[in-house]
Amino acid sequence: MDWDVVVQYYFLQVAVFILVSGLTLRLIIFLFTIAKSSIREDRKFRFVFTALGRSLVPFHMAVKKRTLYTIPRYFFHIGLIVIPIWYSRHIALWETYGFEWYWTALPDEWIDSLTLLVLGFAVYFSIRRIFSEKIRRRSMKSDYLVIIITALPFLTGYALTHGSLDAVPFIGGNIENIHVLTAEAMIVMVAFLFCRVRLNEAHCIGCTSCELSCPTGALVSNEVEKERIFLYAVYRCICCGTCMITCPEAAVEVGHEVRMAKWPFGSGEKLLSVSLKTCEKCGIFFAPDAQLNKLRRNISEDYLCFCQKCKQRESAKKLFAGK
Amino acid sequence: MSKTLLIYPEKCLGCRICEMFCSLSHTDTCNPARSRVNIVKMDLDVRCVPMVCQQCADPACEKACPSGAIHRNETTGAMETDPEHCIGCRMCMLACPFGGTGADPWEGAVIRCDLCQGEPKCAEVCPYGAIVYVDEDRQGLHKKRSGVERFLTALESLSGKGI
Repeated sequence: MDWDVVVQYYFLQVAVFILVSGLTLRLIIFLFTIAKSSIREDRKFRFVFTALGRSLVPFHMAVKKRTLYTIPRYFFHIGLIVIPIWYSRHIALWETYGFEWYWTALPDEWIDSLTLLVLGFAVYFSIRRIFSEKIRRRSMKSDYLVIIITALPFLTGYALTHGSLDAVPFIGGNIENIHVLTAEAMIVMVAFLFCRVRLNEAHCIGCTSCELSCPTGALVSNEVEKERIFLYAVYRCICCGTCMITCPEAAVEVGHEVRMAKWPFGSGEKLLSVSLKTCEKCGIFFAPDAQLNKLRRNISEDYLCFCQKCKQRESAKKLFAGK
Repeated sequence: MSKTLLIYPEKCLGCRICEMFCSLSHTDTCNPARSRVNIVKMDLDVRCVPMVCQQCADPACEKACPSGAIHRNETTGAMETDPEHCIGCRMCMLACPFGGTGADPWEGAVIRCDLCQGEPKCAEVCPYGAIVYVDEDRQGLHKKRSGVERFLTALESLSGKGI
């Protein structure tokens, strides 16, 4: 059996088939859920597509709010798409597979430096994840896996073009197959790669502005007794980052997650629960503790512990008494 | 000259016509829950007061807003929410001492009296004159006048008893 043909031909076909069918299925399910969802008519599709378009261009509030967080990510993702498509040797491959497709390749030096940039960012992201206490605590195993699987094809590709690993016994001889295998692993991963929104417990005040801004209704909140619970439906999320832009406390984080089980339906999973405070007059739960505490930093009045109705009632009484 | 809504709680009978017209002119629906003015009924519904945003001189909502969406309309003097910048965090609702800011149960957006761009519907339709739209500096005069009226009725009732 010729491993070169199996790896570079059959495996590649399987990987591309998984990617295309997976993305199509996800698109169909996504459009179906949006059409069925209870979002207001006027903001449904228009809002979805403007939100999606805005996320592709790096000129919005999220960049302004967290420049160091977003700019490397934009460059990293541009590199992930540009390098495989506009590399001259990849374009030449179309011919070997029997397609008559050609487009102008970027100069090899550009691709080289872009690859180094991508690898540098991958190292930066992993170091950040390993050494920053805050990020490590909420990282999952799949977070590291995503970075490794994404970086490997670029690393092997760089080694393949420069022949830097040729001296190593086993890897040197099979570097081309290894490069194709890692690339196939990445292609398959994309079909299972979902967006994951996380709310930072330390920062979130439970104000639900993310829920209001979400164009597809992926992020919702429910009030159950003394808690406000934030639920997140992953199959509705379009990774537009509107929640991140809106959040006044910069508590929302958008990341990736590989999800093999429950694909593609992950029904509303619990993100966070915020405890609510009771009104001191009527005893209903009316506002999150953290939000009131934040307000107290600005305004320190005793009426803050009353709910909307009780405040109206109180001031109405005062108005009546002072007529 | 900026004008303001003046409320006579003793004249209000709680008919909720103002709520209906407020909701109709702002949202095209007759839904008191979406109204900017709320009738508060107290003591087994005998006393009722229309509660509406007071357009404070030093508003707590403006101070509390994290996105700077609340600002004063210079022509009408109303505190207005910019829907482009409002993120719906309900900070202004919690900060308001009068409960004058509410949330629309349909859209989730924050709603507040905007004085209908200078022609308040509630003052126009109130059949009993419980809400009137007056100049800000005449507010005191109106209160004095209503005080004098009450004084005169009291005097009349006393003189009717032959004192």
